[in-house]
Amino acid sequence: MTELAIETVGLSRSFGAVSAVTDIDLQVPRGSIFGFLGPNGSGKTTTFRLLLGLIRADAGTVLLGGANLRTNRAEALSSIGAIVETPALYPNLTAREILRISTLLLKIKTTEIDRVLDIVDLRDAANRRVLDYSLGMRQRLAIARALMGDPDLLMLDEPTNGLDPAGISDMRGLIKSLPERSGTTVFVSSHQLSEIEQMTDHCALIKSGQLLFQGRLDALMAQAYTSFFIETNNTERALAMAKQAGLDATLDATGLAIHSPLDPSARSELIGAIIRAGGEVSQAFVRETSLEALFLSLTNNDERAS
Amino acid sequence: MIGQMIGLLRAECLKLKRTVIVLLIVSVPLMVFLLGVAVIATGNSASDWPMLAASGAAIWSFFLLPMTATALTALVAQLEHGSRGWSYTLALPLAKWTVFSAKALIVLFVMAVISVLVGAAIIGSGVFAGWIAPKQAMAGELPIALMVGLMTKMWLAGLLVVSIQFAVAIRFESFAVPVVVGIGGTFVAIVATSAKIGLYFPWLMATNVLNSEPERAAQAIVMGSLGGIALFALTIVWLSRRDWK
Repeated sequence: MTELAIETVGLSRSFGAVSAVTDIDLQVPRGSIFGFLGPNGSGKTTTFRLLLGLIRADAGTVLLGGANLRTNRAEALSSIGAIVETPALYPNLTAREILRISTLLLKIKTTEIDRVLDIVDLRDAANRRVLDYSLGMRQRLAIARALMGDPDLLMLDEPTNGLDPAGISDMRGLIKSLPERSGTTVFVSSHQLSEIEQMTDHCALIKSGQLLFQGRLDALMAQAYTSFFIETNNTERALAMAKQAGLDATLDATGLAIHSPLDPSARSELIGAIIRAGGEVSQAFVRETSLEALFLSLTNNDERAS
Repeated sequence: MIGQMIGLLRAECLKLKRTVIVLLIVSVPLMVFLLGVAVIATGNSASDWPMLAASGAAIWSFFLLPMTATALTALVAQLEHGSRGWSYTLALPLAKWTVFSAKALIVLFVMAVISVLVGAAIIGSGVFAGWIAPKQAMAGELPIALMVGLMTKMWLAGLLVVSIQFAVAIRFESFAVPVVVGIGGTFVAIVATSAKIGLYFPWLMATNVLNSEPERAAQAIVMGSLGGIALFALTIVWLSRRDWK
């Protein structure tokens, strides 16, 4: 059995002159919660649709659980549950009826219905029409439907979209519980970075259809830099001194910002040097970048990422 | 494959629960019945069964069949468009063509059911009218064989227009597009009736079954049924291959 739940090689797709996804080599480890991060319009949903065979790739290969989607579609999709964008479901039906449809299509036992309803905590509302459901309940029902047949891989496209804070928290808890509960690999896309940070152990960053990073979340966070800010009355002089010392430094609204890692003694030494050169230091502080800041840094400044 | 298709057909039937499908199935024959009763009871129609069968079948084939096909295909397609169901269904480990074939079979089955009910409604209107207005009572035996023959031929000849409506309804997310095509086709049919080209106009195929020239009626059945089957097949292949964005 392959160690990768999803693997793509050179996956590309254009719409007319617009290249939506370019040469994506994605590797999603089995058993992980894998965050697929990117700003709106970055190619996340296109990638999702390519992975599910809803649209055809111009080039490249998709392997799901080791099975080639193009040549062995039925096997590749045989153990996948998916939600693509916000599902409206069938408003005229009850949750139980909607899940009954899945049992008919997937040829699985009806006992699955109660199992997945319990997982998403919708059993009490199972006989109500979906028309009367809140958005959060619909999202949970969509996850229940995706969980029918106990898939090895769950693919969720923006599952927290439109949810209130309580709904987001519920959804996060549900998603985090899935690998432990049934060993399911979860591939979840989002543009909400805090969600990915709290939910996933692996991630990939996509922008303009190209992967900027993929790997363990802690490896990404290791790329996060700690900036050291010095508020001084002579910023230009301080900047020149920092650059002379070989530091990655810029000027911002606060004053001098040093992006190179500095230990406490090096920080003291730099402050002392600025003062000895006749400058006044009114404030100095350290600020660690969040995943959000790192993400913005990566997506706005690809050079730094590389 | 057969097991999969049965599952798909059962799923399609379940999706139609609490929709207007029952209203559609009941209302069309009811309209034919009421119209038939009104015409016979007021003495505006000749009191014989073949005449009643022909006039009832004309109303069905010329106006109600295309409109029913429009409404039915739009309903079946909107179940998926409205619920964004395509992304779910087409990402299942099922051959895509089976998904569309199941929808097409449901449409054809419901059209057949409505055809049977319309046939029954035409006969029923004659019986009922004779009961409330004995002077207008029909002579002779009930034209069951005639009606079965007419409805079967019209169902076959109507396959082309049903397949056109099916393709448009599935392809376009908006409800308006198949409705405009359906209404437009029916209105053009009014003009096309008197034209030579009317023989080849899909919306007139079912009506042409009533043509006094037997060859023309047979031609309509052959063109409508074979054209419909071919278009259904092409549509299903095309839908299976296109992108679902």
